[in-house]
Amino acid sequence: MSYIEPQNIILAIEKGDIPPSQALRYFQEMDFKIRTNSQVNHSQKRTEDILHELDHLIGLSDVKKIVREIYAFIEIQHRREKEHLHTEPLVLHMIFKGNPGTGKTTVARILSKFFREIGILSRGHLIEVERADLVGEYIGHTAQKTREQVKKASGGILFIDEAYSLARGGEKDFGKEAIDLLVKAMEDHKNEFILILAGYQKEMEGFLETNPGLNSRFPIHIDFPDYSTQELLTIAQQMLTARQYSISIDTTATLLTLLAAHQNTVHENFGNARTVRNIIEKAIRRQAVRLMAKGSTTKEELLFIEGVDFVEVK
Amino acid sequence: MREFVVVGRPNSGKTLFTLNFAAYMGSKTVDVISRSYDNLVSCRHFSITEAKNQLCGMTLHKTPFVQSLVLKIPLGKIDVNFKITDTCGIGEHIHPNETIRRGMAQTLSFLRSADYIFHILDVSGITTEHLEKQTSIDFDIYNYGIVHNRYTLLANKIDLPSTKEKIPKLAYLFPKANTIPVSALLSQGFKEVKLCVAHNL
Repeated sequence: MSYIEPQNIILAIEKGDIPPSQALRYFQEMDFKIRTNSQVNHSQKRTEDILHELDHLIGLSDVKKIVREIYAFIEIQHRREKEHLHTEPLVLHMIFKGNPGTGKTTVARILSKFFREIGILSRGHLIEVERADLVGEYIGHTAQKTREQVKKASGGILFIDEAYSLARGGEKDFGKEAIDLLVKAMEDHKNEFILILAGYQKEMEGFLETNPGLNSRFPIHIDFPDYSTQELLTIAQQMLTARQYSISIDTTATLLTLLAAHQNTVHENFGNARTVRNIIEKAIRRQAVRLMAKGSTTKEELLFIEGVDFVEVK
Repeated sequence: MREFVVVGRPNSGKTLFTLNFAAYMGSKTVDVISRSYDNLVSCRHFSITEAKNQLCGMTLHKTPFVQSLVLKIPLGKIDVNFKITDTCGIGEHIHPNETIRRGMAQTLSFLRSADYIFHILDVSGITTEHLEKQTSIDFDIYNYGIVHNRYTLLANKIDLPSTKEKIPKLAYLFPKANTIPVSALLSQGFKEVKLCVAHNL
């Protein structure tokens, strides 16, 4: 006979249907099932939530595709392991190439959570560093600083922004020592952390060409293309909605023109999503100044950003 | 309040352990809160000696239902209360007496809901059959506790000379258990039990 509820088992002991030893075994099976189901469900749900968060990002179709590939690869490696088949080593060090504001840090943050959920990383935190955090000022200082950052990143992701700046100073610079130490740490602690080198497209390519040993150690290269004007507009609308603001169709046209002008005129330093955020924040401040002049305001006025608020934004 | 439940076979020394541990923790008197299987709660006030005289005995199933004591343990600068619950002994077979069966059912119910399990094992009761078949209820309690990761085995009656040679066999019989050899009668090994309580509060 099978018992569905613990209370039924208790009643069965009272009635003398089963001995306590049998009841304990039933309890053990019951608790095991409950725990396994809840663990699997929770973990799956969290993984799906993270992937949903990634899917929610505008554009970045290549990035999304690669993350799905990594997910599938890891899942299949797990299944192969269960069947005692050969598995490929999981080397997940990555290179992110793209202009500022194209979502490199955002994706790295999502990846750190994602890798924790699927069991690749134990802690899933992101340590964001730059040249100054790794390169020291005197002999021995660089090793100390770099090792410290690698130690901090244990169980998570070490994200080096503008990584090419490590090779900036030439042969005698301590940056080269930092690179060598990182390469060694990647080998020695390959299962403990993931290293992501990020930076502008051109500079990163130059950096990898001058350090051929590095290129082969990073199996995953992800390009973060610039957003199209339409994508930037969608990002702007998302940001406004998140802040409980809205824009009319006319204002949308003004914003679109403004974004296109930014893209065309200041292309080299254009910060993509970051520039959009700055534009939105400036417009919000302009709206506040405009409304302050009025004695009373309606809910609609508080909600809508007008075209005039964007006009003076540079 | 965290609840530590004391379980084991009948006559393994659960009640004596509970009362002597209360004395070791500094209690001179105890309020024993009993809960019958139909949820009737009664509270009796005893000195430790009186409680031992009334509640402990050599007859099987002297404790027909659960009885709890609230004790204090100093942690840092404060005293933290915890509940220790003595239970009706459980055996491998279906007991003919309905009252005892209900007591056993109540024990298992508390075992599931408790925060921590102290499994009292009568070391003198370990026989060759134990070693060969591992059919005793003690193995079922052990297997249940280990899975739940909130379990300590208290190897009782180490004051008896016959138990000396059996203590080393415990590591083979219960390999994954955190085992503390104790004598409920002589309050031996209670320092380690106190540490275990402090660690799991």
